[in-house]
Amino acid sequence: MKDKSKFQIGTGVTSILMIFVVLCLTTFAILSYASADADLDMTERHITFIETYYNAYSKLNDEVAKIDNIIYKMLENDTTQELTQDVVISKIHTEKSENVDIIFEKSEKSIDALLVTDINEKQQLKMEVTININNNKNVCIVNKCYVYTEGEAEIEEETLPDMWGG
Amino acid sequence: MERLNKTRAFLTEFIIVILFFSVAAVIAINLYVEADQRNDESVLKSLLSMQAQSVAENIRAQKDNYSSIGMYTEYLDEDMCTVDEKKAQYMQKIIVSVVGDKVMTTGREYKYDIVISDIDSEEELFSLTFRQYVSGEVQQ
Repeated sequence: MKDKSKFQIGTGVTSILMIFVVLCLTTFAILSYASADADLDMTERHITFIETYYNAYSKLNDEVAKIDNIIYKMLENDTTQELTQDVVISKIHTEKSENVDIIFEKSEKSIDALLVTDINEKQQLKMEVTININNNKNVCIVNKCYVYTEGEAEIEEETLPDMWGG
Repeated sequence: MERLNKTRAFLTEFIIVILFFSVAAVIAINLYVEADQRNDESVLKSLLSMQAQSVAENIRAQKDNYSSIGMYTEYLDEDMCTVDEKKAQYMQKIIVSVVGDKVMTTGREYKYDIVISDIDSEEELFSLTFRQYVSGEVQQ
């Protein structure tokens, strides 16, 4: 008499199991690789940005050094007449570097200059420089630096909802 | 006889299944190993770039005393913490030099080279260079 309790594996069962296991294995392997590759790509993009940022920062510092040197030489050479803001601005415009744009704003006691250079296609590095030339012939440059990204959305002021005071 | 044929068919199928599984396993293991290597590389590059950027920002903020020209060496462990040379895994060098031939009397432009290298192989792993102008005052 045939033993009905004997278990037999059908012909196609192993194939189906194999397909399932291979699919899972391949999917997870590809996902792992893609995730690691994306992380590495993001890290390298970040490193590229750091390098280009500091290159731009160095260019602006070179320009500031040039401006300071121009003013110093003008003060050394022109001791007979007082240095006017227009003369200084004109001289700086003549001798500035090609890859740096400078926007001047005259105020009562100083000249505010905005130095701009490109970090990449969409971002610029801007440096605000204040040039003080007073009667004692002191030249002092104070600067601050920030990144400007093209296409920035306008920030709208939002009113906060009533918060629970606690 | 029929049972023998069924057994042969099953074994043949099983062998083919194992063959395909082994090929897929080899490919998958290669992908896993490659993913692990890329992950390690990404983590290392992130740590190195963050360390170099941190040093650069401290210099820009003039928090650390790197105003003198010369070379400053620090030893770092795997977490980028400062340690003794014996326990270190990386070596950080900060080379401070003056830009240009003449020293301008109004101020000075310094060049900072931050180089992080492996302590055993001395292979340069990451470097960051930038220039900073420190303005001075001219007294009449």
